[in-house]
Amino acid sequence: MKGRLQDMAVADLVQHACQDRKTARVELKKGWLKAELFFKNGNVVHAAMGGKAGEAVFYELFDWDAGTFELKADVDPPEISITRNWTSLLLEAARLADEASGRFRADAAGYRARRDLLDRNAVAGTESVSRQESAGFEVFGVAGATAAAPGSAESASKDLVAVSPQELIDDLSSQVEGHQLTCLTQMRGEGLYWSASSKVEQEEMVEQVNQFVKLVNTVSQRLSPTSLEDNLLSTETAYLLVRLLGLDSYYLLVAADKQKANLGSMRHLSGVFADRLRKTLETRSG
Amino acid sequence: MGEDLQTLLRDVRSDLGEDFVASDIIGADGMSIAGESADDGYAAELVAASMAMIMKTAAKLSGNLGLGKISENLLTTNDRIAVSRALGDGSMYWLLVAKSEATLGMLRAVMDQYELRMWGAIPT
Repeated sequence: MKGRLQDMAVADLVQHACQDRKTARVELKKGWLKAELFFKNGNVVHAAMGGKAGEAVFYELFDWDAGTFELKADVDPPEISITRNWTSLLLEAARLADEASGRFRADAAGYRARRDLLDRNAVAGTESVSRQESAGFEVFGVAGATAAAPGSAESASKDLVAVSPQELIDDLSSQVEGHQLTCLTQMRGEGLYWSASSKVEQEEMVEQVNQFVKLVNTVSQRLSPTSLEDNLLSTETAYLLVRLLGLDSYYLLVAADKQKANLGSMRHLSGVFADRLRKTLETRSG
Repeated sequence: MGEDLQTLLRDVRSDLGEDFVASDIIGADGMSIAGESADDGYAAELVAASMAMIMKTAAKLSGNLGLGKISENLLTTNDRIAVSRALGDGSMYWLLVAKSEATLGMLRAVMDQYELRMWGAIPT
């Protein structure tokens, strides 16, 4: 059985497989991300993605609202990483999704619509967005993330493009292969939006990256009178990409596993999202 | 006997053609030991010192974050691309500056081709 997650949500897929008491493997794909779900006699017993496994992966997959799936029956799981009953698993996933969504993220379709509006705005330039469409434009927190930007309360009441920086950061993070960290911040250390795939001492890291970015920015002025666009640092294990937004010393930081990341697409995506973030921040600051 | 650094840098310039702006072999102290430039206005000493500083700070950052040794830093401005690589044991850096019209993949391929030879040509 094959299909699109737009047509059959992960929750429906799980319900279908479990009610039929299937033993099966489901391969899920979203952009460059690939994950596997295993069912044994009608229960979810294993979820794996990019070296991670268990309930946390399942909860992440639960949130996928786009992508493809392929179910192959009678495939045994390579290991058991989930022992919770499937109904309880779905309820917990729904609870976590609600918690993460806050008031504004519950409707994924709404987000996609807002993102489409942003894209259309980028093309049309002057297209207006109604108050109703912009409902939900506000900073929200997700597990492991912090969000605080100047002017957010005022922005919510304006007829502006309705995508929050945190939504964009999350979106970018989900598209970068081997993603480790995405962060939007300012060189002076304000306005932090954050998404990390593993536990990171964010304040310490941002402080150190800030010093590095300031230095790179200064050096780029010596190299050429025009402005810095981006800086990519390659280490033994990771790519660390910094892209300036050209707005109020904001920059976007993306870190990814060097073995898994595609450097070209990482640079391209950072450019696309830096542009979207700049537009969003501009509208928020009025 | 190793190759001549200056000759290698000229070969790199020749390989990149119009896209080449400048290239330097820089010590960890920020001093250039060999350089080639196609731009009269290029402030070689200042850029060399600055790039060494970037690489040192990057190495410190990478160490603190547990990301291993630095292999390359790529800085892009509106009209320039600057690639810095640590050579050999990391005591020297190779800086290559090109116009932004240059193909990044090509720049990196050229550096891959010359990297070991550059290190081998550094007088010991």
